[in-house]
Amino acid sequence: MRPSSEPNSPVYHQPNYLGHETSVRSWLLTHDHKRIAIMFLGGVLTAFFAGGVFALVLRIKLLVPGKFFISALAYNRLFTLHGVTMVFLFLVPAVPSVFGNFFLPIMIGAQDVAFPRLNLLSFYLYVTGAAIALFGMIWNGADTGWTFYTPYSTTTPTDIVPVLLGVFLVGFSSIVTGVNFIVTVHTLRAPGMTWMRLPLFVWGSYATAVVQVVATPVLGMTVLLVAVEHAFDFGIFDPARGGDPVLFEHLFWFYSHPAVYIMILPAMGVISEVVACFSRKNPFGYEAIAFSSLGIGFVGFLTWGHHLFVSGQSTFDAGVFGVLSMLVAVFSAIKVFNWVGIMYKGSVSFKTPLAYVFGFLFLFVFGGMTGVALATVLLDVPWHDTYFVVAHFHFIMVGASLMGFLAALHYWFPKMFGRMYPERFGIAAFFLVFLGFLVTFIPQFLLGNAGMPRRYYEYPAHFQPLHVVSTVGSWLLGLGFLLILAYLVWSLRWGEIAGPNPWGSEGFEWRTPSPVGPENYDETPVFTHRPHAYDLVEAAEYRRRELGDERD
Amino acid sequence: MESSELSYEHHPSLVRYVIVWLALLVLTTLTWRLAYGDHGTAGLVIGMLIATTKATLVALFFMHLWDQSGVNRLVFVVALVYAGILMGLTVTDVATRFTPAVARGPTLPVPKR
Amino acid sequence: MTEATHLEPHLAHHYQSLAQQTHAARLGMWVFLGSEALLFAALFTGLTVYRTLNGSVFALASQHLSVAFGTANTFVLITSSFTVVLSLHFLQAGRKGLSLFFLVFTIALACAFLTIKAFEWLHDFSEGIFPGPYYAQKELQLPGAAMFYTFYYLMTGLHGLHVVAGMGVLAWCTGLVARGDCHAGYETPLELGAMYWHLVDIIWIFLYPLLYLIT
Ligand SMILES: [Cu+2]
Repeated sequence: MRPSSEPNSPVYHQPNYLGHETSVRSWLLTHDHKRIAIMFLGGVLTAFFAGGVFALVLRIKLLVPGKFFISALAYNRLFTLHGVTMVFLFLVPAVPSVFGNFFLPIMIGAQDVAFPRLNLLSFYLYVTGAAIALFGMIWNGADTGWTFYTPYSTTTPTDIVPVLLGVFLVGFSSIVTGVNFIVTVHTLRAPGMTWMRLPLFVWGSYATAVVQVVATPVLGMTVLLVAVEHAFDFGIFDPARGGDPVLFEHLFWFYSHPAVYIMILPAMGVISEVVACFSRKNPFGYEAIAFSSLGIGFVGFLTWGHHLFVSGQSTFDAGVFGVLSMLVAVFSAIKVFNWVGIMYKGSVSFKTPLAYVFGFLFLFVFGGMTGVALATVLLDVPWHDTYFVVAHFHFIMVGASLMGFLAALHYWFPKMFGRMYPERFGIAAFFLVFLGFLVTFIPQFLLGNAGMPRRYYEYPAHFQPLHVVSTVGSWLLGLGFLLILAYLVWSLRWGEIAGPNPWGSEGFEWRTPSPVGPENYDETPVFTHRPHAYDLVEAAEYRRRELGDERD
Repeated sequence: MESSELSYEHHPSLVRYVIVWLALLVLTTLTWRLAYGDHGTAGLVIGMLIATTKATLVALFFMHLWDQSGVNRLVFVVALVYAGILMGLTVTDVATRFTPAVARGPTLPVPKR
Repeated sequence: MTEATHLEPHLAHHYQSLAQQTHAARLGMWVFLGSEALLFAALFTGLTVYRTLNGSVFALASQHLSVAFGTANTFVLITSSFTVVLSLHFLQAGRKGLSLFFLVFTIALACAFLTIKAFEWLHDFSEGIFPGPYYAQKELQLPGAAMFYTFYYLMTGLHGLHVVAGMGVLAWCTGLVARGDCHAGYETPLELGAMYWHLVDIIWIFLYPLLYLIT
């Protein structure tokens, strides 16, 4: 491991993975997990801002109860587009394919993921799938919603097949990433990196990878069946031909409920890293956090039927799924209590990444509790398919998963690009996003509770005030994201030089220079303890000696 | 890494492959004969048990799980468990639905083959 | 890691030893095959659900399939699994000629499987057994019959695609062995190719009783 050439004065490390080769070819055909991660970052951010624009348009329409701004068909297509883009093109690949790709090998002391060429393939599958899906959407886009429920999806006059094929390809990309991560963690750990020393982000990513590999093929098969039925009229799910549309829902949610954990488990891994770093405390309940990741990964597969409570599923099965769904709350609570435990009596510094952790905790607990309520059969019946559900899953997906993504982006930005973002703008943007989020979605809980169904183009006039508040909130959210984009882009060029370890973190990825060198480590690292061991004398000494860090 | 260095050099004998192949042929014949008896649901259960045995034989000896490290065996078991969860909880729904809500086909006598 | 000199020509730069790399390759293949298994599990679930809903009609429909074709194909595929493992065995023993012979033999068996399958489908077509709305078999006009054959075609079709993919993989392995790029001491490509072929076999092992032998 090479210490920065002059201790105490941050340097912009050369040569690094960003600059050692500059040709376009060296990027497009790279096998370097860090470059692939950066390309994924470009992809998912593009998807995120596209999906955000669709949402803003939807919210503008909803300012007015009747016909306004866009047609009803355009509205149906736009909410499909928003859902497909955000779920399949942003949330699912966001943390694993970007930060997992970048940091998982570094954290375990490896030079790359197990199969670098497959990693590149995963990126191109993602790009191809995204292109086909978006092309299909714009061409004669689907109006089914991102859930593709049959029999409407198999009979809709809009062109749904390209969208389904796109989703299939993106799913395949997700499987390839999952295979890569599982094998990397099993076979490429550096000497001393035992399972019980794995960083918690690696545990989260590992559990995610298992879910990706197991659940995604079922989605792939399901969307293919819908495509076949739409194209050839086979009647696989169509009740008019003896098919069972509830079977579709079973297959779809066997993936799509665990998909929530694909989105949130790696985000939870980020939270564990950031909390320990900014509290300067050892991870309290390390084993509990690690194993509850696996627990969520497993139990998450036993709950999908809570989406089918009003679909004609048998009451017996509904009861079973309702009870099993509660189990997820147990593992989630274990995590939340441990994160709070890490902060307790720590030396907490309120930097932007930690701000997002607070945002995460608040929104995740709020979203989780409403989730437990929704998984109760009798409560779900009136709330089903209302804005209450919409608000609930936005609390989990945007609230929790996106907060985790933003925490990761700010925490690791110095490591990835060698420069700092402006802290004041970071905090300001956090408050804007957090406030905007609450203003957007709390009214939606109220709307849903009052009976406003989701995905409706028109609504009774007495719902208008709450809809207006929600739309104003969406503008605040949009403004917050634009601010983040602006200062991050600015920081790429003009940000303060970060040095190898600006946070004084005991995470292993901070033992590399910033930006990381092309080979990660100059020599194979040897690990002797867990990450974030702030109480270990040798860890502090290592920081002082190798990284020139003068903090205690 | 792990115990793979040991298994890495070890190659099973030809005899083992031949025995497994013959066992697979016998089991296939057994499955085939099973279809000509009148066993009802038991027939399905026995048929699936035989199929699972055959698959396990192939995985253990032709795909060398028998000699490989534990994690590979874990993958095989985990895949079976999750497939079981998918099928089990879905079929449970269909099997326990409120009868009038299910458009069942006619129940007809099925002739023997 | 950069200073490590790699005497092994097959060792990628981010692995420390060939044993580690082989372990990774095997595990990767296992995880991928597990994922493939779940892909088929979705179809098996659909078949089981409709079988539960249309019990005796599915049994009647199953009896219109040719057990002879199905059974013959089962024997062919199981034997091909055996021959591909023999090919690997002889490659490990350094007997390249025998290894190549059994590889080509396996591909021939795969061709035989597809030929039998083609004849079977033609036979089905001649009786009016088509999927979905094109179903036109006179003897069996009951609700649920078309659904059985839809799944029959979907499942044997997808399996057939896997057979074709597996043949491609085995042909590629044949090239590697013939050129000496895959040899005693470095059998990984053939080992992984064979694993894929065994998966194709395993899926058929389950398809056979579930499609042909419903009572
Ligand atoms: Cu769910």
